[in-house]
Amino acid sequence: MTVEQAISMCREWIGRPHASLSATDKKKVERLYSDVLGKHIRKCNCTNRYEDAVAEIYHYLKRGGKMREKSAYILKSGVVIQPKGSSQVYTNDNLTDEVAAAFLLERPNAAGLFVYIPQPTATEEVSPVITKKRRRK
Amino acid sequence: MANNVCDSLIKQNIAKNCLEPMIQGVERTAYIINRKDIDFGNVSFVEGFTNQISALPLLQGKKAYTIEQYGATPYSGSSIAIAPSSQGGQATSTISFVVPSNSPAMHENVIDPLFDGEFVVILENKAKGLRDEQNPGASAFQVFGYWQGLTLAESTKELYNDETLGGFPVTLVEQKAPKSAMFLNAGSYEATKAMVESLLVVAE
Repeated sequence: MTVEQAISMCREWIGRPHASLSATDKKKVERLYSDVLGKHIRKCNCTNRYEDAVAEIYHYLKRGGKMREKSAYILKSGVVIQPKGSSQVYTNDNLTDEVAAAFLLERPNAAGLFVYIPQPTATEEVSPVITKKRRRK
Repeated sequence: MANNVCDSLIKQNIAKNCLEPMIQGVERTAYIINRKDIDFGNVSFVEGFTNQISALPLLQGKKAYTIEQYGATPYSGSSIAIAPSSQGGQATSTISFVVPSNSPAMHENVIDPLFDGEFVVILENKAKGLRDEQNPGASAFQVFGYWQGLTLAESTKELYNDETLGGFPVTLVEQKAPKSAMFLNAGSYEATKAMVESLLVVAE
């Protein structure tokens, strides 16, 4: 999805009260929120959380924001990565290819914590354990 | 800290942490997992511990669900009982909660599966151990049902019960677990909370 498409979707929803959003609309808002901002809509019973989410997406993109670049690596549910020496915690919401690749280089036996590991590029340094897992896939 | 967990020897002083005294109770939000959805082959533990899980991966396409309770004493009636045995001891965990809905979907999707399912529940303790020197935050998220699974104990719904207001009380029990407690610890309270919340999202 492009930025223009995302802004166009937001314009359909902006100003519409919570009650007028169908279940399908809400799913679309949740998906778009994750795709654009890399996080999930707050979990509460607030009636205006979808309206707030749409406004947040819209203003982020209008300010020159880009669609979030998703990592090609996918962690399993229930797994987080915290690189050695760093306090940053990575989930599928904020994982980058660089962090994932470095993590697997450091801990090649942790490949089982991923749902998906992309094929290496020609210059990418890869542990033999990862190569074996990729071939099995 | 490496332990020979089979030697039945006490290895620590018994005293409270005065920086962070004990608090009873748990938070209102808990998490329930179908035990068969856990990718046991890739569960990892904190080095040196047999009761701290650092990664609890789920099989592809699976997720956990939340349990919301209300009032001052959520999950009241939940307990852990330990007893000796010839092979090293056993723990029995009981998790009690009320399903606060009588909708057909709730019966179809939650109550009926309880008849014969096996579950793992994660409770968040109010006593989180955030100032524990060795493992800060490691007391926060406690796992029940990891070893044997939690299964349904007989539960009765009373239509005029003032406590449940027509909701369905549920009691899940894990018997003969080999450990008195299991915890989640991804390195810090924040990391573990992120890990728990990632259980709620299907990885795709």
